[in-house]
Amino acid sequence: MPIIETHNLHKVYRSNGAAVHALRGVDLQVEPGEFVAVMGPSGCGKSTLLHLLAGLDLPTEGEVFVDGHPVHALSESRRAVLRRRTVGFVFQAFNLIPNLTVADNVDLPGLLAGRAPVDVARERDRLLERLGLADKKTTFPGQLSGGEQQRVALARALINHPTVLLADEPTGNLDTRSGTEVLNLLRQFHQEGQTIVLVTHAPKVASFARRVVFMRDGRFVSEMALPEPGDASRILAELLSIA
Amino acid sequence: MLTYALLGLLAERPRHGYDLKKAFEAMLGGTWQVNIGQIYSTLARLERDGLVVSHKQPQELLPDRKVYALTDQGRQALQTWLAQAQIPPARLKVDFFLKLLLARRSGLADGCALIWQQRQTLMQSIAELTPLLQRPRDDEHRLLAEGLLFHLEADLKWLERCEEAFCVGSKEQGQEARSDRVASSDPPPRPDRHLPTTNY
Repeated sequence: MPIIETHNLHKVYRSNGAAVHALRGVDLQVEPGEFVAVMGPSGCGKSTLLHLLAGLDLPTEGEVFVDGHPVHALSESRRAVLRRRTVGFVFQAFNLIPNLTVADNVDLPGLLAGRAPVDVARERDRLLERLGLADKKTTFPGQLSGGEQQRVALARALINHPTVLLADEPTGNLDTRSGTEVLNLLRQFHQEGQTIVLVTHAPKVASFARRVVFMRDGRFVSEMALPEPGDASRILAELLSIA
Repeated sequence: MLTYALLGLLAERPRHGYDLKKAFEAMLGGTWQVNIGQIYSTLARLERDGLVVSHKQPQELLPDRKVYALTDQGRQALQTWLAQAQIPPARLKVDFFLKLLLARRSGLADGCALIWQQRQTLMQSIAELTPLLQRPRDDEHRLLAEGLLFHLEADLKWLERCEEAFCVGSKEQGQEARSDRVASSDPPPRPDRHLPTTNY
């Protein structure tokens, strides 16, 4: 059974009386353990789609099921519970709370979900260690580099073992090196079974996923499976061969 | 281009033909195999033009072999070539664009479907190249991969423009094309690769 399923998803925004049709009938299915990238130019509706999957917003028409929950039909408070327990979200702009330490930022969703503080702290230490941030626990986000902030955001998104990790241009504010680091981490979590949906306009970023869905004007236009990363010398030779 | 590669390798030290083949292939990370016959014919031409000289080196149990060395004239020719900027060659995928134009004119293929298929091919190449970005920053293979990735990304951007021009306003047609694809369980035929022709 798919872990994410949308049916004929539409979203219309009204701005200054004009209707903006951000989604025009999107059907998406994501199986458990998949790493899917939704790729398209800005304004194609990809971020809107991610927000609807996270229950951050409601569709104008259509249905969204995440881990069996009908997100489109839940009240605001039920959606808040879903966001804490079922979904982890990584934003382009990190969205850490500036006056909380790294540890407190990561703990927050765990404590809000009502888990025992000692469990949350143990989990947080494990994640920070894993993400190379063990010595940053008492640091404030403003003192960290962009790459470090995004890794803290990743720890925060994973603290409650979400069924699905959603990432909106997670490397959009990062230099190439720290961007690649974050993408490698996503790939590692995927290899351990984490379901991930990432949206991006950048082909290199999308190429870390195993399936890419191309979006245009609020619709999916095509999709493809990507190969397992393997020996790159074959493709180098092919691209270099001068006919 | 092989001409200057051979001159460049001989500028390091004198070498025989097979040594030149090995050194050339190693320089490009084994991505480009060159025929030994091509090496010898190029060397013969260079010797005729006075850019290299050869002398016979005796070998135990084996026939003599020719060792080639750069002449002053050859060194000058190499320096002149090295100092010149490359004239940027046209890199537009003319054959793909031709398909697109003819698809529209003849009505025998869906232009949008061609664009999407082409995009998938480019994405596949990108996915195969990105592991090379893990290598150290001064790794020669990585530099090569970065160059190719920039080209592939530029091609993808251009495909977005083609999509705007060919597919916007014909959305219903696009939807039909998509349901056709989804309905068939066969993978799409592997398209011709229209990839950057690099002249590094």
